[in-house]
Amino acid sequence: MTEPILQLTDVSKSFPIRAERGRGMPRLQRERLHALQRVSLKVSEGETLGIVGESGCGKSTLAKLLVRLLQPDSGQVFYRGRELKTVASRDLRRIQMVFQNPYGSLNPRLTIGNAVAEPLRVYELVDRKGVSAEVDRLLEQVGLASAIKDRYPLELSGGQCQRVAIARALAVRPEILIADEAVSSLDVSVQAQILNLLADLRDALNLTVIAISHDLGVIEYLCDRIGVMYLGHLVEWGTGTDVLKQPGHPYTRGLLESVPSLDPSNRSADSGVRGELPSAITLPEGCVFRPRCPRAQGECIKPPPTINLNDEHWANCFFATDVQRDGAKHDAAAS
Amino acid sequence: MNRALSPGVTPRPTPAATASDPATLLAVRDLSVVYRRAHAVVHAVDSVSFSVGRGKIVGIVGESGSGKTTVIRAIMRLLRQPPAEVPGGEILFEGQDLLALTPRQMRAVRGARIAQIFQDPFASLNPVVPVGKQIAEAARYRRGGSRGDVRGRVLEVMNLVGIPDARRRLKMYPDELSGGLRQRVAMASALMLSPGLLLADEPTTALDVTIQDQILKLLRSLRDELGTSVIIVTHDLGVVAQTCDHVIVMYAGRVVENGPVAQVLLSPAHPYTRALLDAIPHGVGRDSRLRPIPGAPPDLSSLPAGCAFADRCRFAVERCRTEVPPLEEHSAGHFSACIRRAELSNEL
Amino acid sequence: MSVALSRPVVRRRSGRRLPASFVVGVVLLGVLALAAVLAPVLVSSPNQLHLGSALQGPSAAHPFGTDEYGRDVLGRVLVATGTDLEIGLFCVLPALFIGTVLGTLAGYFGGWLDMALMRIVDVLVAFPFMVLVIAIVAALGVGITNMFIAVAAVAWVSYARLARSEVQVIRQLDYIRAARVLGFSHRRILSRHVLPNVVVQPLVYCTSDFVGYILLCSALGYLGLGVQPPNAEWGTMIADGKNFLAQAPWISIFPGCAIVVVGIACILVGNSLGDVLRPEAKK
Repeated sequence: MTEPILQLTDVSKSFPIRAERGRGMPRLQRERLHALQRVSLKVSEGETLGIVGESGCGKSTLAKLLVRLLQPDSGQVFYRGRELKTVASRDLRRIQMVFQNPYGSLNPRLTIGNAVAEPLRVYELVDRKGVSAEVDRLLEQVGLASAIKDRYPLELSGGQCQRVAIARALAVRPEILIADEAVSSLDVSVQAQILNLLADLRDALNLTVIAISHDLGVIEYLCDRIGVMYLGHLVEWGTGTDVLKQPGHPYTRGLLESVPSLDPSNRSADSGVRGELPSAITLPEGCVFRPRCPRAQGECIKPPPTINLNDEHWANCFFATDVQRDGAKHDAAAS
Repeated sequence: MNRALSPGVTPRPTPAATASDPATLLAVRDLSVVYRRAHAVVHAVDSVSFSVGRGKIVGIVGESGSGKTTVIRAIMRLLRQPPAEVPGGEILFEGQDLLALTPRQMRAVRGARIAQIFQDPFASLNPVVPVGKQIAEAARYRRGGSRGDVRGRVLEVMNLVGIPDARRRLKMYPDELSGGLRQRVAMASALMLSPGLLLADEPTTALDVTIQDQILKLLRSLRDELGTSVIIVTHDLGVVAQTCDHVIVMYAGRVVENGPVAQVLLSPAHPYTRALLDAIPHGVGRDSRLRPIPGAPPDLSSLPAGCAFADRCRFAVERCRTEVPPLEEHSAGHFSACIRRAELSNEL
Repeated sequence: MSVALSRPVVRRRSGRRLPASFVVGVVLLGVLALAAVLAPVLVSSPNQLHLGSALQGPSAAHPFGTDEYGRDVLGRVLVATGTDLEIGLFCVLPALFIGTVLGTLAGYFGGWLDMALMRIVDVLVAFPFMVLVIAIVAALGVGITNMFIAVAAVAWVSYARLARSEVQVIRQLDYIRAARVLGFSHRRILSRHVLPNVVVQPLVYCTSDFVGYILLCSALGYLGLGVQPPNAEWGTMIADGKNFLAQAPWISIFPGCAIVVVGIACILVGNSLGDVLRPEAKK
């Protein structure tokens, strides 16, 4: 088994809360927002991993840890076997990111040409005379005409800006591309264009892609492997088919049921997941999903074990096998 | 916009039922809205017609720039005029043309008979006023009644929208509530005066999918329990599929398809609807390919002659670019603005 | 894999057309600067007393009249142009520079640097501006250079705060994060990505401060702490003329008009400076 290109072991991260509420006395004790709790995962080279979860699950924090915008409080992040914090800046560029807001990720004062050329110049990846040609090549690779070089971001559509952002990330020849909600702000038709582009680039350049999204459809389309996060915990992990077709965790099951199906005749009256997200400051005891889980029982007050559903598929739930089996029965009855 | 009908074309039957039909709550007829900017006139909405029956949930779906939000603003008469102008059309609500009302008359309608909830619940709630007070405010100036009555009504609507622990929440501030709860508070405010029509502009776009699921089911139950009609504006066809009875598909300010939701989604009669369905990565696995819609929506200040979708449509022919296709009946209650819809029925 | 270039959101303007107000303001300032440069050539001995021709009204020989010492007002106004423009510039520029740099660094790096800076700002802001300036000038001694030092030491604070709050907004934007993920050094990010976006507001701000400092100087001159007589300076000229407002109002009026002209020019430039520096922000 080859070494994973990226690995997290037991990573935790929390943030101090500034108790400014504007009303009443400021809180004296330092409360912390627990963004990530002992997350461990491995990514193999060339595969596409999807991290899916809703607000507060910690996926954005995870993304920032992977590009060293944040440091973990505990646990380690490894890139090709070396701890991320020991990796030189120059090599860190192998891990690149595309952000959610297409206009926000480009400096409004730089022309497209300069924005894409800048990393080339900084790292001296091509000599001076070759910069322009390389910029043209990168733009063409993402489906843009080179005439766009003289334009400013605000003159472009959202889809075009996102393509520029991808071109800029590709300029430094990354091995890993993290797409942090990269298509969430785009219209459906444009979203599809960008998703196809990412899939094509991934195949052509043998990139390892980590797609972070709340949209299960996007994750399903792009990813080989899926990790489901809830309130800072990785609750399920497996191949795309395993997790989406035979989920073992009640939250995953609820999430899948919440996604509005395109078939109008298939409407259920029960909510996929009931209740509200608890605060990430005081996490529920034991299994964090317990307060909203339809299967919660007495033992869930203890931290749930990792149940292996098959070689590559696990879920952190006492009843994972039941969830999977009941789910299969339910799906069979519905179809 | 004046469009002369070519000879030989019969005037199209309007999908809007007549005003005298008691089952129709709202009938929009030939509504157009333009924005006059410094160097251009933007045709945001072009001759849009549709109707909303009593107790029905109607979805208006389209991408950005399709005009769907402008239609809602026009119904509520919340368009800033200038730069907006309404050169034509009628909005018949319970028989009255809203566009002909005086501002004072319209204020009596807004909030009381037609209410609205918005995309960002945080922005539509006052951050420095407790939520109980905000919900009460919606009614206080109209209905009168003692504070006890009002408070009773507030608790009633809060229960109706499923806010748990309502009494305790009365004194809470918006920032202490989650997105889903805030949206429920917004809905409670909207329901205080029992409006007949609720306009929901992207009500769940900013919410997590599990919360969205709850809110959509809530909208359906409100319709079932109170008979409130709802217009949901969204870009998400899944939301439409799960919540709506009828759906109106808009593109570049025009209605391109209109009909019962099962028909429009399962047997679409317009290439744009088909293309939208194909572009959604829903149930599309790792090894298949999404079919995006090439190009981008047209510039609303210089629309091409003919069908606005022609440039991006894989079925377009010469005729599509010469005249704007009228919205015509495809099958009972199902309308499409594609001149080739009959020939293409197998491919759509 | 190429997709047709979709229509842009904003029409690209054919060439950059500068707003009319900006052009007028700049031209006006240019004329004033020219006057300042040419004054020593055009005007001889503006401080020479000619008591015989004191308090004469505007005439062919003296278009702006003469003051109580018989000096030609027009000549003095012209000579003072240089002095006052210099005052405006040397008061505004150091404060702008120091304030913007410190504010940007504090806002960008945060932490103890930010806390230290903000505490200093809090202390300085607690004192009335004029009082501090006067105190420093009094301590350093009378003279125009000391006035510049005093102003710089006090005025940088508002620019620092302005720059800092701009930086705090920008710092959260994805393009700064993208620059860090791309591995750019802080120096590069600050100089190429942060500062160009941060500096616009302080620049606009300083166009209005410009005239303010000219007036400040005249106030100081009134107190005997600024430009010393007999040197020509608009503010002191106005102050000197106050005793003759009834019989020879032109002594104060014309220097006053000169300040007004500068003020108008600054406003014209300031109002449109934001648009000029951020043409790409016009949607």
